[in-house]
Amino acid sequence: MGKGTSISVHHVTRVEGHGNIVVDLRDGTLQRCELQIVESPRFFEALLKDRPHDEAPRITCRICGICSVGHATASIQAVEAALGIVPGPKTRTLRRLNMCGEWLQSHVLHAYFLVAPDLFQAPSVIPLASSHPEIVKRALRLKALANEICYAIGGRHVMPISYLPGTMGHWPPPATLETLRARLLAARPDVEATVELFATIEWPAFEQEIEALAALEEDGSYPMMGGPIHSSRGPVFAPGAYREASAEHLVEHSAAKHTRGANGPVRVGALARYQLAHERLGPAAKKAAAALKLSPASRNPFHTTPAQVVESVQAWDEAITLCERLLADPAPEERAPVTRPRGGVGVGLAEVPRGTLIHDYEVGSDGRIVRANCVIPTGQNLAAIEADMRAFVPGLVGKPREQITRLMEMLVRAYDPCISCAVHLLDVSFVGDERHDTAGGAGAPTPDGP
Amino acid sequence: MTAEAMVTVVGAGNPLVGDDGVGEAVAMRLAELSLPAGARVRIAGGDALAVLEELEAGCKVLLVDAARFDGEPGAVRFVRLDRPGWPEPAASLSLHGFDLSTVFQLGRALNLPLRNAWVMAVRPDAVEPGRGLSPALSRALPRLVADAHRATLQMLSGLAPGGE
Repeated sequence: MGKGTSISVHHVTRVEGHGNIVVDLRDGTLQRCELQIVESPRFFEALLKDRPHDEAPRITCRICGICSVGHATASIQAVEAALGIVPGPKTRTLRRLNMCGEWLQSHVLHAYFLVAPDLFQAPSVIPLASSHPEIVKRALRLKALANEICYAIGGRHVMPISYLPGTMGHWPPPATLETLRARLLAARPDVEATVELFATIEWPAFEQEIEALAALEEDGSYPMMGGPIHSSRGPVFAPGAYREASAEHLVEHSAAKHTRGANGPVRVGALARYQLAHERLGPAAKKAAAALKLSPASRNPFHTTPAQVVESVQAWDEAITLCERLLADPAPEERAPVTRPRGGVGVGLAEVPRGTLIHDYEVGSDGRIVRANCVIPTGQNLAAIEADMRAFVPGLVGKPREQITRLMEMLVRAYDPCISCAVHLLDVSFVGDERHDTAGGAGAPTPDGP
Repeated sequence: MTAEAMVTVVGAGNPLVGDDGVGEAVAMRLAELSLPAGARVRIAGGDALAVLEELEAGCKVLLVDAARFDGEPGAVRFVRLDRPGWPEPAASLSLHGFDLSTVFQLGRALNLPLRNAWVMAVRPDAVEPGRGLSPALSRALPRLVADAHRATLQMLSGLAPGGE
């Protein structure tokens, strides 16, 4: 790519949802660099209005098939906060076990189905399945295991139906927990092979300091179920003060809202969690991090994938522990009481695979939802992705256009964006002065390509 | 999980998008019936990979989903997944929206027994945001459940679904 060239990659592939990347580089100066989110909003917040509060988890889990457990978790916690309900420890354990299933499923799918093709120079997982079927079958096995966890706890493989204010609607019998535990233990070779596979990868070198945010639980466990929002810059924000940590705003080129922190873009997700809470990982995940050479000091967004692999190990290992804890005392827990029957405002946070998810509801005295606001991790990461693109692109000047396109897509993909959730694929456009490349497929050959 | 299940009925789609939820509606009603041993029901939402998971686990699959084809709303067609003619999969692979052509291509690449997976395609009336099935599909639901139940029994017996 010459100094005066701009590029247009239309339709970035292997991300969740639809978006475009537009890069305009003239005389060596970056004029414009945008991640355009072009999907239509889906208005889930409006859909919640006037609905009974206990329907909220079942409605909002439909925002995302990948993060349906996370949405149900944040949603039920927002309802509980609004009604003054404090669920008991076994309820929280059951919900955390379900989150472990979702983390394992989502991280494995992103690493194997969306990232691994890049590593094997395959355009998608389909040719990868032909050349390395054992790798793809391993991913399918791990996904099936994760789905079984979600089925046992949530009543469905996706979109759980068991979340009730103050309790869970289904308590798995000991035999189910025993089966799950046995299957988790039997999956050790697949988990270890996953770490070995991704430890062989040389990730692109790129570092950028961006404020990291994660909701850390106060009991010292690895962030998953929500808590005060911790910033890598030092401040800690109560859940109800989430807007101070990550304030939503509209930008012209995106149908999804961006957010910004006090100092600009923020980064959420596996790498941010690892940065802020790596010492909370269990021994198996710490061992995996060492094998992956993942440093807590890494500010390389491409390291999100190894961080996801570490978190996959954490989720797998912790799921075994949680099954054992529940087996030790499997009786259902009594439903926690409502202490604020007239309702109020409640904020529920969950660390879902892609980052901090925030549900903020107001529940009226009639038990119906008056107002809802959902802040999605991908929306929080969009400004960080653009900041990374602006810093990354100038270093690519002189490289073949096809390589630039591939690297740009890899950068966006590294964040595991779920545009579908944020509003809903990605198109990269390099628009330019003396030459305009119009919508070709991502990585489409160009006249001056290599 | 599926070691003893020989036929898994997979209900796909999103009930918040009108008749796109017909797969889930049929599967949920089916789950309320006394299914014979060896059959089970799975709600998949948009996760078409569920089909491959079930095939990998050795099960036959009946995927119930809304599909556009010529016919009246509520009309049913049974299509074997390894039938020729699926369009090329979309380049824009997304874990939210694996289309059946992608599932077919991926399953073929993995050498999975696609002949064991059938799609029970239901012609929708209205696929648009909003809760619940259209009146036409609500009326057709008992018949659709009966069709799915019969197809499950046929598959358990080693027959192709859809015949009388």
